[in-house]
Order: sequence, then structure tokens, then C-alpha cells
Amino acid sequence: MVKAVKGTFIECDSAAREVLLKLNSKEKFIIEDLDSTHLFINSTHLKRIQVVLDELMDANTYKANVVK
Amino acid sequence: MSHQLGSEEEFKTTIADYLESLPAQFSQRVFSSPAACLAIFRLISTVGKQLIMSMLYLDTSLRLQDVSQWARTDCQRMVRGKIHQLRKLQLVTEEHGNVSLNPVFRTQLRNALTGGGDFSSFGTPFNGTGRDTRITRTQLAQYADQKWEAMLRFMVGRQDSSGESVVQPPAESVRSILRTAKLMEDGENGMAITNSGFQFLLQDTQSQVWTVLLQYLRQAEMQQMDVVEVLNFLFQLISLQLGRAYSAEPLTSIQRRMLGELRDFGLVLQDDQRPLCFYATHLVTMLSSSSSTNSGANSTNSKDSVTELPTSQQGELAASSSHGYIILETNCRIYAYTDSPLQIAILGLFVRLVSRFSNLVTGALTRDSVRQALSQGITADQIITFLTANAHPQMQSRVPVLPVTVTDQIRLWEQERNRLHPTHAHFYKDFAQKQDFDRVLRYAQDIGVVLWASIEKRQLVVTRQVIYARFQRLLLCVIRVLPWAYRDVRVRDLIVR
Amino acid sequence: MVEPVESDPSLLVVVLDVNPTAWTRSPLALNKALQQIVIFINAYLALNPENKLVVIGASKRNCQLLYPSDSTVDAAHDIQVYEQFRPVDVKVLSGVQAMVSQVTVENINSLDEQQSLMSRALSMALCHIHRVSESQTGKIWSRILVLSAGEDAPREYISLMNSIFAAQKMSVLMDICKACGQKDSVFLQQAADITGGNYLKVNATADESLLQTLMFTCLADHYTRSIINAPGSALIDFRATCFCHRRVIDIGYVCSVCLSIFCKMAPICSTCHTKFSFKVVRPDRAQGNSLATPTADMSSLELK
Repeated sequence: MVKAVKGTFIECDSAAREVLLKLNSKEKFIIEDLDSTHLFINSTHLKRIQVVLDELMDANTYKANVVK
Repeated sequence: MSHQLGSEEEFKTTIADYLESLPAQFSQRVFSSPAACLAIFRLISTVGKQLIMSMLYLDTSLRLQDVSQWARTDCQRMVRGKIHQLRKLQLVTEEHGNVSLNPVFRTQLRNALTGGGDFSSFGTPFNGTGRDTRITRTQLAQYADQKWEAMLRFMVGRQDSSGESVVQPPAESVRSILRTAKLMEDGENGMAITNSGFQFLLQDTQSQVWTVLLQYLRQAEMQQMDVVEVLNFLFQLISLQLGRAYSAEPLTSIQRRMLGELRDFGLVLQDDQRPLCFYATHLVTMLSSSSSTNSGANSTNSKDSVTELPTSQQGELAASSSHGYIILETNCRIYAYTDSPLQIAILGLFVRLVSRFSNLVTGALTRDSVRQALSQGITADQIITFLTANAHPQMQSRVPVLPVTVTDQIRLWEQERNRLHPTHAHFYKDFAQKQDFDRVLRYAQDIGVVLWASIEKRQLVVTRQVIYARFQRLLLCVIRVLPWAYRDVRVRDLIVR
Repeated sequence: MVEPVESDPSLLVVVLDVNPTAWTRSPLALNKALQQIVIFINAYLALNPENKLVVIGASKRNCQLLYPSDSTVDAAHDIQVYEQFRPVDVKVLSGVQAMVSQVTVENINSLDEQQSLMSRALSMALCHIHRVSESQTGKIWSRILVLSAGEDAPREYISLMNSIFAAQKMSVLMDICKACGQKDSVFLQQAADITGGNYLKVNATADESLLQTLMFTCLADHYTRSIINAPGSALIDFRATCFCHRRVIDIGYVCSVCLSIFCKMAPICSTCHTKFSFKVVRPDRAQGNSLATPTADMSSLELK
């Protein structure tokens, strides 16, 4: 029978999607993996994954020192 | 405010929207003053102005087809759109395929051009005796800048070492406008600035004044003041001449009250000893100009040298290129030649300031400083527009004004924050039959709510805005069609988890 | 080529032909025409607060800058009129009055009297335009509106054509409004055609038809003209004057080096001093010779 789920539809690039899939193995929030650029997740986890993505971007960025 | 505070063009459209929203009898009253007609005329688009001028001295009405034939064939649609806009503003009436100008508007605009009509529409000069009535333009400019910057400084909220706010809070009328415009909100330690407030700070002075005036109009509406009188007085103020004393005698009581309230923003100067005499400051007279690059603190008059052609603005606006003070290098370093604490505070919103000298502040645009600004609601476009508008004259001679590397980098930093595009939605799966899925998909496509669909997997995602009940009823219909397949489904099972 | 943007300011130079002899022959009186022109100027200033204006008056003997001028005409503050319009109107009207009263007419019936110094006025206009565009930081679009009442001056052909080509180079539009006079002005028609402006002949007997024509055709700036059509004229008189006698001619001789036009054959070109030392094929001798068949345009000679 038809199932209906309320959640959040995410459109992102493939790299971010891979990150989210990896994160999902620790904290399950993906309801359905739609295709290579779309995911359907649980709405309550949205803020958390945005924070995690931000932290990841921060950690992987080279910051140039401003010379005083 | 859900929409972003934008450029000067958006303000013209915002005040045009406001005028459109006025009912017909209000518009007629607004049009009865030549100053208002002239101010409204200046707010519409160039093509609209030409259409109005072509019809101004024609006493008959024209066929809509003829008017749209005035344009080139590929622009006719655009011209018809402009005529439609004029109709919404009630400047043009259309019946039986004939267009003609609103008669009240036509008479008063003719009066504005020829000097007939209402005496005091453009302001009654003050013929006072007694003390010296001349206030110089520089005094007026200083007064206006002082008041306006006090408001901006209050918004930025400088604090000294003990954590106490150094800035004097402005008058209650200013604070209430800031509150209702959602530029600041009440917090535990007094008022705190909001995201829209940050965006407001980065705009040029003209847009800022327009925002305040629009908010004042809305507040006047809520307080049941006569909006027409408020509008007429505002349009009169815009067309006043800088440096001349005007008499407040012919004003109505509402308009005199407006004078008192607008004084707190620095838009008019009114002496307490002589309440009947007032001056308009450059903040409000520059609204009649369409130049959007006259930013705040130093836009006083320029002296008309003999060799310079006096413009029709009577030289009250200095060229915008003389007010830029920011130099931006390709390595994102910023050098700002200013000592105004307000400008430094505004720069500090998105620049990491490194050193400060008596006439110069240096710093750099770093990823952290820009991301901090982005997280407070400022957009990359606003940062770029602010830097372009305040760029030093040496930078303004280049094309493009700011280095492309820096502008691209700011936009990239903004895009970094937007890697995910979330939308609240519903997800449907496990359709047993292909026809059911197709039917539901077609219905969803017709009402335009499909976000994503996969025909192979028979899964569908629709936005949450859809009227859920109707959609669910359709699902029930689908299921009821084939009762032998879904016999044991109950409605409860379809309820969303 | 830079395209005009909607909010760009414009510079309009109005060249007013105030030759009183010419105006007396027109059905429209000069003061009535002036009133309508002043309203047109106010409408132009109302379009965009940054629009700039220059008014030049031209008569038989001199050309004067009417606005902006240093003359101190102190108008009492007329509260009914918008502040920006008043000084312009007053200066223009008083300037024209001064110019007209200074004119001393020797021979009112001589044909010469009706010819105003158009080329001088146009040169002044172009100099002003150049100065303003140099001193302006943004892009400013200029055009010239010529209100002509008198006749063409054939002796001015060369200088007039030079100013027209200079205007074309500076992308300045020239609109010509012929307020009176029976004949079309040959040179001004060419001016409008070359620079991309409009040539209008106004038979103004009704009170406001001059104003309506001006508003409809000449008010639009560069941007609006790319959207709204302007009335074009089908037939343009492309005649020229000869350089030697200043007579308007249809057929003539053209120097192949400098393209100066002569009505009679001369052994040396007076402009570029080229010697024409060859056998000339005259039209009356060249029966059946297709090369020398004269056409309505200029035929060119060959230099060996």
C-alpha cells in the first residue's frame, strides 16, 4: 500500500551527498536515497547536518595568515 | 521582512506598490497637488514617462492599438506592459479600448510644468523677521548628518570597555520606527539589531531614507492618520529647495505633527523658538534625484564654480566619486581612508580590521569575517554593492571597479554555505499499480507541486504547501478504484507519520 | 558601442533661431512659440533630475549662450513654480528678449536677413557637449534640438556639414523643428538624417500643436528612442552647395582626393591643391559613352 512520509527533500551536489551518506551510518536520518543529487531526510536532523557540513568545510579549508 | 532590502530601483517599485494599493478616491486626492504629481511622475519608468508626456497635451483619448503601435514591433509587448503599470497606478484610465490620462493628474501635471494651480504646493517661503533667518547649507548638512548617524550608530551599537553602550539612544519615534520595520528588536539589554538591520546598514543613504519613509507611511496608516495628507506633505518635502526657509503656517495639524516626528531623523530642521519655520535637509531633497551613489556622511553641496555647468539640481549634490574611501586590493586587503566611527563600525561587520591610524583603517576580507557576516543575514551581493558604492575615486576609474578575484571569492564563500537546498516535503512510495502512480503523478504535475518523481521506482516527492486534504482524497480515490488490491487498507494507515 | 541604459542622464542643447525677420513671416508669433518651448524645457527637466540643459540663441549677427549664463536676473521667488524650472525659464525668456531688441535691421526685405548663424550656433553647442562629457564621470547622452525659423544660408554649407559630421562622430542626435518658412531646409534635413534624429516641419497655427509635436518626437532620450518609433521622412533632399560660388547644385564636379564639390571645372582643386592635368570628358561631348553619363549624384573624375 501507498506509504506517505513527511520530511525534508534535499538537493545537493554528489560530494555533499556522499558525506551525508557516511554520516548516516552513525546517526540514521536518511529516509530514502532518491538519486545521485537528491535525498529525503528526517526534518529534525536538518540543522545538525548543516552544522556538520560546515565544520567539515572549515576543517578542509586552508586559511591564509593575514600579515600584521 | 521576508523580502531582501534591495537597490534603489526596488524602492521605487515599493513606493509605487504602495501607491497602487491606495483606493481610487485616495489617489484622486493625492493627485490634486502639482508637487505630488511631479514626484509621482519621476517615480515611473522612462517609457512610462514618455507615454504620459505624449498624451499630456492631447485632450482626446487614444486607441490602445494606436498607442502600442508607437513602439517598435519587438517592443510592443513591453510597452503594453508599461501601459498596464500606469493603469495600476491609476494614472491612465482605459475603457472600450481607449486610453486617456487621469484628468486630475493631467491638469495638475500641466500646472506643475506651467506654474499654475495650487499656490502652496511647492512650499510657502517663510517671511519672518527678527533673528537672522539664514541657516547655511553646511549647518543644515551637519545637523542632518549628525541625527542620521546617531540613528545608525545606535543600530550598530558601539560599546566601550565596561560593556556599557556609549551611544545615546535616539528619540522614541525613531526607535518605534526601527522596531516596526524589524530593523531592531527588543532584547534583554535594550534593543538589538536584526538581520534586516545589518542589510539596512550596508545600503546607500537614499535607500535607507526611503525605507524609513515607507515605514512611517505604514505606521501612519495604522494610527489612522489621513494617508493622503501624509503623502502630499512627503512629496512636497521632496521638491523643496535646500537652504530655504519655509513656513509651516499653511500646513494642517497632521502635517505639523509629521514635521515634529521627521525632525528626529534629521530630515527637517525646525527651530523650537520659531516652530513655524522649517528647512528641508539634503537627506530628503536628494530623494528626487535618481542617483543612488550619494552615500551619507559627506554629501554636502558643491560650490558651483564659474566654469562648471550648473545642473538642474542646483548643485546640491556633490559628485559621487568624491565620497569613496575604500581601496580593495586583489589580495583582499582593504584600506579605508576614514575616521568616522560609524563607517569603521560598518566595515567591521564583514572585514577583519587590523590596524587603525588617524585617517586610515586597514584590514582584510577573510573567510571568517565574511562568513560571520553571511551568518548574520548579509548577502554577498550587498557586500559587493557596498564596496562598489564606497570605492575610492582611484578604484572607480577601473572597469570593473572591484577586482574580479575578490568579488568571485565572496560569492564562492556564500555558495559554500548553501551546499544543501532543503525543502519541506512529503514522500510517497510503494504504489502497487503503475496506473495509480501515473494518475497521482499527473494530478500532482497539473497542480504543480512535484519536486521529484521517479517512474521506475514509483516514488514521488511533493511540496508541503499542497492542500493536503485534497491530495489525500485523491489517493483514497486511487485506492478505492481497485478495492480487491487494497482491501485491508484503512484511512488511518494513510495518515502521515 | 555602449548601449543607453534607462537611468542615464541626458544633455539637451536647444538652439533657438530668434531672427525676428523670419518669425514675422510665420503664422505663429515668437512669444507664443517661446511659451511652448519653455513648457517643453520644463518637461525635459522634469524627466530626470540629473538632466542638463543648454540654450543657445542664434540670430543674423550673433549667437549667445542664453542658459546657463552669468546674467543676474533675479526672479522674485514664485512659489507656484517648481524651484528648478523658474531660473531656467526666466533666463531664457529674458535672454531672447535682449537678443531681439538688440537686432537692428537694415534691409528687412533682403533675403539675407532671414538667414541665421546656424553653423556658429551648432559649433558652440558641440563645444559645450564636449566639455560636459569630459567632465562627467558617468555616461551622458547628448542631443541637439534646433528650432529653425529662417532659411538656409548657402555660404554656411561647409561649416554646417563639418559640424554635422562631428556630431555624428560624437553620437549626438540632432532633431530639427522647422517652425515656419515655406521651403524645407536642405542642410538641416541632411543633419537630421545623418545623425539619426528627426526633421519636423510644423505648420503651427493652432495654439499648442508645436508643443505637442515637440513632446511627442523630441522629448525621448537615446534609450527611449530605441523603443518608441519616431516619425521618419521619406524623401530627403541630399543636394549640396558648390565650394566656389556657394550655390545649391544638383550636378557638379567632385575632386577625387578631398571630395570638394565644384560647379565648374577648374584645373586645380582649391581645397587640396591637386592638379587635374588630364583630358576631361564633358557631358555634352560624351554621347553614347556610358562612363560619362551624368546622373543625379556627383560624378567623379580620374586623376592620372
